[in-house]
Amino acid sequence: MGTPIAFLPILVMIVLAMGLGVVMLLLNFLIGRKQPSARKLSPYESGMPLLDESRKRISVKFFIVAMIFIIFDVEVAFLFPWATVFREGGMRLFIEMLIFLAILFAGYAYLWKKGAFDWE
Amino acid sequence: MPAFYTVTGADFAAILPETILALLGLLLILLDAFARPLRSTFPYVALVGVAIANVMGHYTTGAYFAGAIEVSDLTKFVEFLTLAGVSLAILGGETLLARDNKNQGEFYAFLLWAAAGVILMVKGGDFLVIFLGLEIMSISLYVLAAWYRELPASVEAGMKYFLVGAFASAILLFGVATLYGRLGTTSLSKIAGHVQANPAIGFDPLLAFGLVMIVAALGFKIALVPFHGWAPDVYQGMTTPAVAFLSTAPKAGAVVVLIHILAVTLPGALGVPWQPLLAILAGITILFGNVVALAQRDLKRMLAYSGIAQMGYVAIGISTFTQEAFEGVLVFLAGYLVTNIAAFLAIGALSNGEKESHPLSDLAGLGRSQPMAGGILALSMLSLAGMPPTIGFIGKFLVFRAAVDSGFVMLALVGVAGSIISVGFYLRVVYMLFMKDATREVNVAPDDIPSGAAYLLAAAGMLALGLFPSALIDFARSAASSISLL
Repeated sequence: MGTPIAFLPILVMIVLAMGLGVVMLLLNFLIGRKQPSARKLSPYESGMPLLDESRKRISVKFFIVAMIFIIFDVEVAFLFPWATVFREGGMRLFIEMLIFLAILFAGYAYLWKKGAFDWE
Repeated sequence: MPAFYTVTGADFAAILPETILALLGLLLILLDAFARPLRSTFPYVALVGVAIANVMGHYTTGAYFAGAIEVSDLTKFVEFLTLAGVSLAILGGETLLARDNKNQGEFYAFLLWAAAGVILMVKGGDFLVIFLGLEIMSISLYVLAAWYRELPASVEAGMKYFLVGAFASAILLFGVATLYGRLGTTSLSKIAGHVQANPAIGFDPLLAFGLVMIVAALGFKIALVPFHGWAPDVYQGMTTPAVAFLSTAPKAGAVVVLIHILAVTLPGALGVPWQPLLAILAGITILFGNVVALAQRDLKRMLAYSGIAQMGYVAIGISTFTQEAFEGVLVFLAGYLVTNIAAFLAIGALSNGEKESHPLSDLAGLGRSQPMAGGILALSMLSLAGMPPTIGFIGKFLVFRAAVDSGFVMLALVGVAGSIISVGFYLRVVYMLFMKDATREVNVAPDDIPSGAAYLLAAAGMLALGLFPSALIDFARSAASSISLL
């Protein structure tokens, strides 16, 4: 491990995978029959007919939900590593995490009071 | 150094001012959510907190967090400037925002967070801490730029500032990564040690490239000329009390960070003649800013170009690169801070409100009917033009003198020429205020105690510091002496 030669199989794999994909697409392009129709040219949606446009405006509410999600996501992302070293850290680590959670909770309380959780 | 650094209470004491400002911001947004009827008291809550943060910043000096935080007279100087700036913006901003019912607690919170970012950035002894401070500051300012979110101009200002600022941050990180790739550390003191150990390092392409990236990114933040494009639109669309802060303390912080980084890395890193290059940047900035400001008919756009030119004078001091020049730069920044905040607060008061534009012609005759705000605006224009006996004169004088003493006579002459051009548009404001008759009705902001206090403090800053500058110069001298020139 560590020497460049040890990574040779990965390089071979990359070249093979890319080569295979390029060759297949190229063959298809060169020798395949081309009979375009409206249905064939439409975006593929698991064989179902298209319902509506794929680019449309999304309500800003969803973005608020995404931002609220990040609060809890970050919280958990820090809680897991904290839990693994909690026994060694002791009281000091516990208080540090309480401070972190208190700051997050302040944000949560702010959101709640400002009505970010009201869908309507 | 040990593998693990144990953080002690002294470390936290070193960042106490930033911590207080950050928690105060948190308190203010919670107060706004839970105690909305108390809104009129929020500015005073913020001011008390700023005062406490100011007191708490005086007691520590030295390196903390294993050198990632460095507290010196220099950082204390910028800390004091920043807190003074945020106090003036809060005092004068309250009335302006209350006109449109836009004085939510979040406004003060974002101002305080931006101030915390400036202070952290300046204290940074490590590129990553500098970046962190810069981002805290910038993100708060992006939000403040779009404060009137129902106004297209304000949203445009926020969006433009965000996109350009994010781009600049990426460039800064790229430069830091390049330096790290070459030297294997992001710590400024370790880089300084490396440069000292290899005095004949000569021209190193990677280091030079990284430094150019960093200078460019900080140039964006202080709006030096090739990187100035965002300033006029942002100033115009951003609400006036927020511009008062944006145009002063963050620029002062970025300038000091730039000086700090250059002082640490330059002697060995660049074999190229960097001083003339920076001097050319300064000259172009001064001439461009002042000439384009002549053509502006919107007060905030005019002050944006004036601010670009003013940072050109600062760049003269940076390219002179002597202790004496840095002293001049610090005095200049202090004068620019108090003057520019006074100018923006007065412009905000002498207008039809933040939802309207701020054309120059609206000022006609207002100096006579509104002697207080009009007088402050006139005084600040004189100070920006560098007329004695205001502080603007002292700052410019010190910077130009340091440039002449180091042989940069041409550069000083360009600075003087720029100042002469600038008199044209600064005095036009004074002319409008006092010698023209009103052309249309302007619904000026009411005089009240907080904005009166802001005016008094600003006037005192401009006049008293201009007449008796020795205390400020001594403070700046001790601050400048903590920049160690290798």
